[in-house]
Amino acid sequence: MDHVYTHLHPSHFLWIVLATALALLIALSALPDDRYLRFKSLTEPEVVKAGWIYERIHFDPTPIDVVFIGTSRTVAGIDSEIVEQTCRDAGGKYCNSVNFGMLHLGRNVHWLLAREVIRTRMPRLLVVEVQETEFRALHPAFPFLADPADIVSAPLVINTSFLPDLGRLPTRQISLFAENLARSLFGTQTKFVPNHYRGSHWDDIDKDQSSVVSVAELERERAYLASAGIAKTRLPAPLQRLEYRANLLYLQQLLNLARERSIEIRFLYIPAFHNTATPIFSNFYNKFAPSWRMPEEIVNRHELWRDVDHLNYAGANAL
Amino acid sequence: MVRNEDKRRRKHLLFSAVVVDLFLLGYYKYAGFFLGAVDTIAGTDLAVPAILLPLGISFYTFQQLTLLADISNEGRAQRLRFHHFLLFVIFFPHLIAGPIVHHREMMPQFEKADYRLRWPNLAVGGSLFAMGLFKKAVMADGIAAYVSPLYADASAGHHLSLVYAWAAAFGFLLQMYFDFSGYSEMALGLARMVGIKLPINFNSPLKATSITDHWSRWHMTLTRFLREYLYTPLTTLLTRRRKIKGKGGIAGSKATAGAFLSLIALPSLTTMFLAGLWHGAGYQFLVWGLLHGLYISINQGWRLVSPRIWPNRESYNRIMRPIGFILTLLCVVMAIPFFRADSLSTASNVFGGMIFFNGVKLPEVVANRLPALGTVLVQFGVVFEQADLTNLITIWLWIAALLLIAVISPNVIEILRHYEPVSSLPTTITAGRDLGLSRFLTFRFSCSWAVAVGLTLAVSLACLPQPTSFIYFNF
Repeated sequence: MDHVYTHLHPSHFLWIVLATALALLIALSALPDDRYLRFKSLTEPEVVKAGWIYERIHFDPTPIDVVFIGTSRTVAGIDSEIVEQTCRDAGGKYCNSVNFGMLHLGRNVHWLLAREVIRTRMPRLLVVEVQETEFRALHPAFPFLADPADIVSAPLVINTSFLPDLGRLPTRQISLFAENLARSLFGTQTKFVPNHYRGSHWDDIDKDQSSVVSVAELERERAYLASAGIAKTRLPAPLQRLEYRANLLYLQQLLNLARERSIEIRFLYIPAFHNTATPIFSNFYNKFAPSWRMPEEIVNRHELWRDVDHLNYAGANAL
Repeated sequence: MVRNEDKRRRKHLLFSAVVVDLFLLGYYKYAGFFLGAVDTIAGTDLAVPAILLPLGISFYTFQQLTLLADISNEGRAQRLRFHHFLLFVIFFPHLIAGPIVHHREMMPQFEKADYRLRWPNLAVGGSLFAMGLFKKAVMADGIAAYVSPLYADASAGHHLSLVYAWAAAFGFLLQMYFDFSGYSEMALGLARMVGIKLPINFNSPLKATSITDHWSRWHMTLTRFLREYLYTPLTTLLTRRRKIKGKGGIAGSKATAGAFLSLIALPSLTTMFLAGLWHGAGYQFLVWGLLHGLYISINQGWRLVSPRIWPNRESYNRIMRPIGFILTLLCVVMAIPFFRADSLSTASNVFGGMIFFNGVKLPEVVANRLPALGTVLVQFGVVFEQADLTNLITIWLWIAALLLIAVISPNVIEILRHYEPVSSLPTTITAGRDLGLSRFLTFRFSCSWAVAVGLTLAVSLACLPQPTSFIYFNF
């Protein structure tokens, strides 16, 4: 094979291959995009709320005083309009509330949303949902919402989505860049259209009163989830923090950011039906801020639940 | 006497090992299918178990069978060490979807290998890998995004009309070609990075001018396996039987229809029937195999007859080669719905669409924009319906582009031929032979090629986050 090394030594050849690939990937990842378009590009029902959250923060002049950040449990359990009204009735001054809960527990997206609102607006209170435990995996919407720098600087240990998220970045930037370019060329830029705006509140509260399930059904679901071992830690106690490290790290970043801006923080513990156990990471939470616990009479009353994880409308009202 | 006993013992051992291998394959892959078939036919109320298929079981079963056959034929059992056996079967690059290799191809390489990474191997292997990845992630997955919805529609009971059915068939053929040949090149590249050369598995099969030519270029190591361990032994057995009965063979001018049927059609149909069954436990795979068996039989028959009716081989080749190319492509495309569809009824739906059974339908926007053409087409029975024209145009553009690449451009092995990318190059691509390729299409360790490979790698990696799995991982 020596006769064909006419131009380059194979090692130099390989280095050029790698350098070219890397340069192109970096260049593609650095393509500029419109953040509004990025948030609006999520159209799946589970994450479509991201677009509204961006609009609420950037285009709606209604003040934002209280921000609820969490998962589907917050989505189902918090009616921001009721919270706002209750606060006003009690003579509160800063009562404008928003529910920024999005499906799935992933502190990276919670941090992202908190940062977005803290940088742009000046909320008084940040209410962060906690559950029985943290999740091992991060939020699947993160690679679609985060800035390129956030994706590149995501924690490496133990973050199984780091490489897939990084791999998605060039394609995401190309498609957002191309869409933005096409929209500019054809004069159809993504602009905030007040008529299409959903309003100052987005609470996915299930207002169908009939969504009450029997105790037996709830217990069956609870037994199934317990057998699936979702809330069980895999590593021994001393290594527990490592298992959930990525999410805890983002939670810590979120809390530090709020502290820097002197924003008050509260944790809101929304457990599953009939679960009165203390969260595994309660000591961690207590270091940063006090926690609110959902009253036990709500936790244990089956008629307030639509499934084992989520309150129904009556439950949200009660909470 | 001792020798005979030893031979007998070895035969028994070989037989037992083959039975164990085939039993495991049969259990995991076909138990559900056969029990389901019995249930349907006999109306029994059998509980058909849902058995999870171990990844790549068809491939490593065949790998073990070739090893057994090779060492029993070559008498090398005594020299086979357990770690060699493990390395041969589970050598990662070919573990999941081949190529299916011979003991004699790999063992000398394993024995000679010093297991050190070398720059030339890394550069050639890396380039092969990048090109294979591009074929998979960009080309195959690119067209798959348009092909899969067509089969999903067909599976949901929507009748695909002519233009859509042909798009589904051509589209999947190209998807499968770029998917599997891409995978094979990635396997070649990975192996080459550690200094091992695997056999070639694809040699531009869509350029074939006959169906036998197609099978000598498509999944070449499977074809070799089927030929060596099924077709040839079966033909030999049948020839012997005919000789014992005093009947003639296939050669010479006295070949009869009976000889053709028993010595060509029967082995071809049997081999391809089993090839279909190997690809999947479903009636559609059996139909696909039988269709190819039929094609091969007709092709072999024509090869026997054509010299008698067309003795001038020069004019025959000049005229028949292009016709053969088109016929072969059409035959392969006509069979492909049976390979892709999730059931026989879905396959029949697509196949029916290809032969006008579901009429000709076009997006109504065509008639709206070109009313004159619309009026003419309606007279010919074309129906206009609400459908996305851009989608239809896009899939046909994909088909045109990929078909052009598959049929006109040199393949990856030809491009890299100077660097011995495979264990042995086919005679059509021997190293150093002038293939009429420009310097532009001949790989060298040059700056321009390094940049080209780097760009290929980057684009493939950028397209990687939404990959579909390799088609042949299913088998």
